[in-house]
Amino acid sequence: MRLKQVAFKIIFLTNLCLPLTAFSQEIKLSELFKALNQVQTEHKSFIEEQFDPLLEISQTQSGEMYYQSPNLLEQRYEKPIAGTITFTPTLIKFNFPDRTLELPVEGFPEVALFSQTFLNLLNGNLALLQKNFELAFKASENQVWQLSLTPTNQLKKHIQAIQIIGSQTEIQSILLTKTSGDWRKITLQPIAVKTIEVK
Amino acid sequence: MKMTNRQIIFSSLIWIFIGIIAWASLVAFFNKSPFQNDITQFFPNQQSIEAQYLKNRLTPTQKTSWLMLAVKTNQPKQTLYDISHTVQSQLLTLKGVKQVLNGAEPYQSPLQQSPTPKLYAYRYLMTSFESAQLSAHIQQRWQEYQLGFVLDKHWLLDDPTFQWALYQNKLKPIQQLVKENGVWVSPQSTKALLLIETEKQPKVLANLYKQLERSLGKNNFQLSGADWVALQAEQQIRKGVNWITSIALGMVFLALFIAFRSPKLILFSSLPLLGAFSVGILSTISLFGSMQLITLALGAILLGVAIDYPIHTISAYQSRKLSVVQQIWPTIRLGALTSAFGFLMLWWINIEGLQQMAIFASSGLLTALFITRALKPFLASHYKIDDITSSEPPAKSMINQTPSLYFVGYLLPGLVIIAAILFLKPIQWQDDIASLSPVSKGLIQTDRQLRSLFQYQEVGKQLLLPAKNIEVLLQHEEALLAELEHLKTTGAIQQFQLLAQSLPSQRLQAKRQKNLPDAKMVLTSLSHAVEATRFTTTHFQPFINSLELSRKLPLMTYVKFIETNETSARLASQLVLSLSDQMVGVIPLSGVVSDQVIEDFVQQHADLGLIYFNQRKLVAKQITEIRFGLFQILGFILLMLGISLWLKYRSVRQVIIVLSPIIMAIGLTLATLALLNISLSIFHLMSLMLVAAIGIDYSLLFFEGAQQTKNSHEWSRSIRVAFLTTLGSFSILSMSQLALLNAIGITVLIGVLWVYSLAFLLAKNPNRQ
Repeated sequence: MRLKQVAFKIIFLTNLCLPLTAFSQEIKLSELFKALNQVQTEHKSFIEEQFDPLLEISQTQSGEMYYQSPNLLEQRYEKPIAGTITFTPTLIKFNFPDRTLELPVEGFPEVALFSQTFLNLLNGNLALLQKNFELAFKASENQVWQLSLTPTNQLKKHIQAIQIIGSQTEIQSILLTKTSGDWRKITLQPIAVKTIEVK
Repeated sequence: MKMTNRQIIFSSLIWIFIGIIAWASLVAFFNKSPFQNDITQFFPNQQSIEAQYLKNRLTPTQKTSWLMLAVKTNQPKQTLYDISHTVQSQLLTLKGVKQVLNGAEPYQSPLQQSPTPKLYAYRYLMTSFESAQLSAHIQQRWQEYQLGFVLDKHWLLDDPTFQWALYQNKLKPIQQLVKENGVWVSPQSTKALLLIETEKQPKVLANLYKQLERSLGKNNFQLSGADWVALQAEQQIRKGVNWITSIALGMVFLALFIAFRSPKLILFSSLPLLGAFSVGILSTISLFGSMQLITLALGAILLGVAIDYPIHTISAYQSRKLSVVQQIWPTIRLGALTSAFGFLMLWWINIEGLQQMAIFASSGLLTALFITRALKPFLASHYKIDDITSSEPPAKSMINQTPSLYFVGYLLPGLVIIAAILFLKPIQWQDDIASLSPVSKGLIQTDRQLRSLFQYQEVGKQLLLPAKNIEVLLQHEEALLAELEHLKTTGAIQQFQLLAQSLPSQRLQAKRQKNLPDAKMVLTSLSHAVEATRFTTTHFQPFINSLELSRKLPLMTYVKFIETNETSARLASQLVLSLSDQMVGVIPLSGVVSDQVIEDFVQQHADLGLIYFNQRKLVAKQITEIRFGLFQILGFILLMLGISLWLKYRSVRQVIIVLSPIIMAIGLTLATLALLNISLSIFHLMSLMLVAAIGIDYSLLFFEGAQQTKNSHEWSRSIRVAFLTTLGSFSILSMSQLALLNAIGITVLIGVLWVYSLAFLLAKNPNRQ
């Protein structure tokens, strides 16, 4: 049984290395989006941090995030509140124990901005991002990259910038900073694999 | 150089028309909009609240048009969301389209609008604030805040119970339509729904329809709205009127050509009619300041008799016999004068539209007579007859002075037959004006369906609530609110709207203001409310300040409410009717399942003076009253004819002989229409006036012709030409699909057939020496 677990770990690590091998050189923006476009599903745990300088409130939430190509993104909150927010290109659905709500994306553009940006990233939809943002991409040799999005349309009244950090095809964090000074950061981590010890 | 007769004739005709042109120029100079289209001018000047409201409703006040659009997807993978947005963006590119709403309009925080809405500060007086609910609201706000779903933080801190959003829903109930993916859809999610506001221009509406047809296909959308239906009606009328009147006119000219064989004579026979129209229009505009288009259309029918005057005159000259010419003219003159005077009786109905018709028709007929008189010397010259008065009196036969069998042989049996027919087959009256609408049943059904989908008020179904002033009105509306909600809950109605939902009475505002907690109480409530959150009471200082301000605000008045913004002003104009001595609240209803339920509701609140305004029933009632008025006028016309004939003949018997074909023709026309199962409208009645006017000419000419010892056939010939002309033109009208033209055509056709036949029979009366 132990042998099996070791074999599994070797296979898993090899799979992780493959992208590493593929992207041993500095990654380019177009290559990144092409690779991201191949992603069909994603399942990550997230930690969401927010800071509001007006109310001087900082808060942290956590849960799991699901992505289903091409248009479904779901955040399942666990702490401190339990509930789900589902994002589609047209609708934002709230599903909490004491409240369910559906909001059109057009009605709440700022609120939907984060999910829209994330969906466009995961869909590899570079053109759509370029339509609304000025992009600045910086990649380093260790496969870590940083993509900064500065709004070019009416969103710039409220949004200062969105900064995305990733490694290879993995998005590690998204930081959204508002002109009011508010910021919101989501850090994504792989779901921990639970190992079972066999005695 | 001495002018020739011909030159004198032409110069007099020319001077007549120069005079008309000069008059027209003056009118055009001083009057920039001489023609109007205001249907309320044809409604009785009644003082009841319903009648005044109806007049107000029918007077166009809106500056823009609102259209309802329902769209099906026309491609397999297209969603309602896609089609809604595609159609929206396409329509917004069209000229004249002001806005296209599909439910996806972004909600804007009131504090982000510039300027902040004036009513925002009044939100705690406009809506009910429950301080007991504060804690629940704060919890919800905290949850939204945690998840980043805050539209505007400042608004959240200023209005944590979202009183403004609550108030907005009352101002704009359309926002409560079903949505799918953020856009309005029909309840079964089969169609996307859009509301379109455009400039009030027929071209804009027509372009919009063409664009929809092009991009969606004819069968994939439904479009309607008050102005769209009116445009379709106008187009149908225009289409129907244009081709049918062209054919009718063609028939008239053909008949004249066959009779006179001279284009010049046809031209001259048109001059009296042309002059009649022109002077009729100018007289009406000069007297009233403007002329209704409906007057022009209906009055033109009455002027149809004017073509007979030149026909009879030319026919007389065609005989080339001086005696015929000398005798026929006084008869034509008598007929024209009695008809003109008869139409003038319409003045006494006391409805401005019909008074205009009185002036138009009578001045037109007199002008036609005058111009026909002016043509006489030309005709004399054309036919080489010296137009001198003969000193020798004409040879006439005398009507038997002994008791005539005519009365027993013709009139009495005729009247008995008419009475019997009408007793056994009573006349069916069509007072529902909607049945005469040229709009297709398909469009009417579409309009009804869309109104139901959009929960729009039904056309013509409202509750009216009179009150001595606005405050009393609002209080009464507040008293009705709960029960109206109950009607909605039970499904008796789909939706209703009251001004009191958007502007509470001063009494209610004062009560709410008094119940608002003071700063200390709010602070205590807040401190409990924020306990399970990371908000602090300090965060909600703007909210505390707002409440404190609301406690001292002067109450919102009706006048200030109208001045706050365009939406409020529009609401007030739709939901309140201001009369000289009272205010009337208008409560539009939509989805009325049963009129009886509403009537019972009104009965229950009779103490408030509540009225169920059913436009269709009211209009039908007013049409019935107009109908009685028209019958009276018809009676007056016959009476005037009788008096005029008495003044000429000074013999009751002769008056009866001349008048009876007309009376019987009118009765037999009504009986015939009843036997043919044709429901009669006021247009049939108005056409009977034309039958009377034509009939007096025929009857007089046949009567006078029968009295001639020589050349009586020449008289008959002139009547025959006029008869065939009338028959040709009105038989074309009777074939029209337009209910109005059909009514006029068939009535005149049947009436003229009867009056000609009966007057002809009179000519065959052997009781003469």
